[in-house]
Amino acid sequence: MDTKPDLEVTSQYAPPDGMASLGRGELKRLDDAELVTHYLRGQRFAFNEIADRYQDRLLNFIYRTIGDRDRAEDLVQETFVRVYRHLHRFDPGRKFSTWIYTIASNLAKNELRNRARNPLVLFHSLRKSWEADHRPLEFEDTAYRPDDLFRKRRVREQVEAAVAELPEHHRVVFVLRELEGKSYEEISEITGVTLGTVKSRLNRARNRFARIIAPMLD
Amino acid sequence: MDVLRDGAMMVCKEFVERHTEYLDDTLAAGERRRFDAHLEGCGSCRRYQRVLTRGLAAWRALPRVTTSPDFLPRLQHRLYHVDESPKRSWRGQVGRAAAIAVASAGLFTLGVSNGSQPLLVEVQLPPVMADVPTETVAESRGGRFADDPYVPDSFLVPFAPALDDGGGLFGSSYAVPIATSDSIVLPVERRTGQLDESR
Repeated sequence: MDTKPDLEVTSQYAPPDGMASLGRGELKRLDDAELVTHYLRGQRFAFNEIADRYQDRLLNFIYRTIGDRDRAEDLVQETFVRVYRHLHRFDPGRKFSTWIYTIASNLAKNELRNRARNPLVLFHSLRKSWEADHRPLEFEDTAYRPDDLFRKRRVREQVEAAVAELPEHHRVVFVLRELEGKSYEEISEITGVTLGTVKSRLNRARNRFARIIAPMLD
Repeated sequence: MDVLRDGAMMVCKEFVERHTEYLDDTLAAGERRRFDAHLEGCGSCRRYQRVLTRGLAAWRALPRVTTSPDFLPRLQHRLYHVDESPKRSWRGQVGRAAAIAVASAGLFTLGVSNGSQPLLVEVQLPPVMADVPTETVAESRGGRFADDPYVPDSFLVPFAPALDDGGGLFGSSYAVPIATSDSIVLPVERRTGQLDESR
């Protein structure tokens, strides 16, 4: 596992008098709400822990929603910047993860809408796809037959393509449920739609996904 | 296909439409038994269930991506500027607001001191005259404009209000650059009609 550099903590971020500064290990043991409280009381290092905790989760969520890894990383950055700006307005009565996913989800939806308005083929996406198609097969396990590996790769591509075919509002719900394991209630709060709409969208997304993927899995 | 069990019949349409609740196990026990019973007797819905669960498993098994190593330093850089920008904008806004307030107060005071009269100030600007070094005039007089009666002794700034004879496009004054023998370009008032001495 690669180590990632921490956000620098300078002396100006020292906690105010009367409040003990927590070490990295202690911050890790805090839940999200406690981290937010520590951050708002001046312990800026707590934000580092929040970023560390959510960066990969948000990246996977946005990446699976918009399908472009580099752009997804930019949007994760933007999510944290917005969280940083508005953390003082965060309602402690709400779940922090729901709040941060709401911001990320809105950014992902905006990205998809902008693309729909200004359709263009991203060259680097094309190139990645071309490279993936023309890369020689890598035999990770000699016990596997090449046709098995080929079939596995095909299935992977097909499921990715199937998700990419889902309408935007179905895809967000689908990714939140299937990848992030969010409850219906959380999805409802994140996407701002009713519980019934969440169930309906999820069911339609699964139905469509199954129809696309069926020829590969039968 | 219709399957009758637990006193209630279920058709494939209902199975597919409510399959999400069945898959996510949010059904009441009785409802779940109806779904189980339908699945047991319906090959088409069993296939749907199999394809969906295997497809979802394949999708969840896709490799997870991770942020690049420079993600946090880049974020730190951005947050640093977030810290800075509100301070600048706050001061800027206060400065702008203060300037607007002072300007408004000044205008209001002037308006009050003049009663209800509109605040109009007529500014009379004298014609601007520009002297040219003697030798330059001499050069132009001794050069290509030696015989030109319209080259004046002094050079006038073009479009000075006092020089406008109001003669329209033709016959009015206009300024042209005159190149002397040394290629010095100077703006010169030329007139195509009679000078109006009365003005």
